[in-house]
Amino acid sequence: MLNGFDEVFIMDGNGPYVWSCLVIFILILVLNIFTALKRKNKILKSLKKL
Amino acid sequence: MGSPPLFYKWSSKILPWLSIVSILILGVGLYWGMFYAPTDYKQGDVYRILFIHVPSAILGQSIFMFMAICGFINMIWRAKISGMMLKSAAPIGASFTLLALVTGSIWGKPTWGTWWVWDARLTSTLILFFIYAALIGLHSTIEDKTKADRAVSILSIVGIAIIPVIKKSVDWWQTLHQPSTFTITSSPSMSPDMYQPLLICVIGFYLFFALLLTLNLRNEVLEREKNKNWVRQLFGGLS
Amino acid sequence: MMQSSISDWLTIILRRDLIIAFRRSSTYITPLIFFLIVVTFFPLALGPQESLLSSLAPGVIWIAALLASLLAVETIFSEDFRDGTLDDFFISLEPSFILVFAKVLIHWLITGLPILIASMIAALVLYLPFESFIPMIFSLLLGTSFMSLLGALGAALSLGRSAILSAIIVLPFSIPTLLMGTSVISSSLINQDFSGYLMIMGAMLAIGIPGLCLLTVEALLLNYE
Repeated sequence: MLNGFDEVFIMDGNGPYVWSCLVIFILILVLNIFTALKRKNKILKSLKKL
Repeated sequence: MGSPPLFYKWSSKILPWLSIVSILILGVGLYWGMFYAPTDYKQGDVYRILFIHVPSAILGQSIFMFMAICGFINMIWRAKISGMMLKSAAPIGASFTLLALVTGSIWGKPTWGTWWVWDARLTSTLILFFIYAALIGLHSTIEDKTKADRAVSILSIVGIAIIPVIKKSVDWWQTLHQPSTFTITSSPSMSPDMYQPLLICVIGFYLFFALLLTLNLRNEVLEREKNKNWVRQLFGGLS
Repeated sequence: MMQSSISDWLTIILRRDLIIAFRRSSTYITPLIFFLIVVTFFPLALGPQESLLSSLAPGVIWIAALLASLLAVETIFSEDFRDGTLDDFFISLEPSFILVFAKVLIHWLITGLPILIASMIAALVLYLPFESFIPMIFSLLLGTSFMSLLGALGAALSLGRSAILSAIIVLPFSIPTLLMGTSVISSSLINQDFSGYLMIMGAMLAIGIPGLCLLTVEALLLNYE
């Protein structure tokens, strides 16, 4: 188990690269889910109007 | 699950389970990969990008395969749901392919010293992304959704036929212009400590794709069947 | 009455379209001029050094050829679609495969063939060695034919919609043609065997003629539902 912020974040010096990948990954996934949910709300709203 | 109302009911039941399981497995795989997997003796810790990069590259390709199968079914049997699946899968495939490109380029910076190398794999992934963009662009320009589905089906079938040719020709092109000096993939005899979390990540990615596909597909079904009776019955009581 | 055979049908369409194309000289002149202009731009942008230009020549000629053959893609079906001739073709019980094949052939005759001839001028201007002319001609012959097939599919899918759409649809799929076409010329520049690339291009064409024509028929039928 790794201890300390530096050891986790920096790793062997290339840590920021790894973490930025993870952040981009999560960003894209959240964006996908978010657009799907937003579209669902829009459709439900228009259905209620009918 | 051939008919839209049946799919909608069935997916409502499975959706909570799918989201819990996919996020759980994805979380376990990534946590394992980031904190417990041993450091690679050659590349150092930067190889940990592999736990995101490889699954997204795999997904980018298998989603295209999935789309082509849907397109084939849509062309032959005119099954409505297959056209909707095709349409719903396209943006997910494009985002995974983009993810593979971006993570590959971030990986390239510390290992090769540049953000981009005209490596055969990177190039063919970029072309795959362009093809996804063409499919999405084509779908968005045709107003009639069923027509758009069939047009995209035709194009996806051309795509699945031509992707192996693209890969092969990019390989040849690379050997002609510059001999390949670096390979991204590690040796086939990957240590099980690294292979196991990678496998879990790949499974997690697939499950997550299933989740996103279900979400998109439900939206698509609702939007297109807006005026059908079953939708009215399902949502009529709400207001 | 004699029942007209498939070859009669093919000649009828070919003759009609060729007459239409030759009445309006812009149909076959425009791609030609476009091709030569694009080729001219490279020495202007990159400088006139002979060694540089001759090493870039395969790529320059191929990019110009691809873009020029895409230029006239819109006209393959749009005119007949607008005045209703296409409807007549589909109503007559002849296989519509023949119609698409004839249209592709016409497109190749009015864009591919002029480009093929102009490519020799381009090769001279770009200092491509004389030994590479034959491989260049063969690669362009196979490549532009495949581009006409792909272009027909793109035109059918984007019928009545924006012109740029068909280019975006077609260009990613034309990459193998581009890579192999340039590889043929580049290999001949360094005295390597290039027959393998030509064979692959020929195989793509052999699969593409039935496959892409059938898919183009399907795409055209989408407009009649």
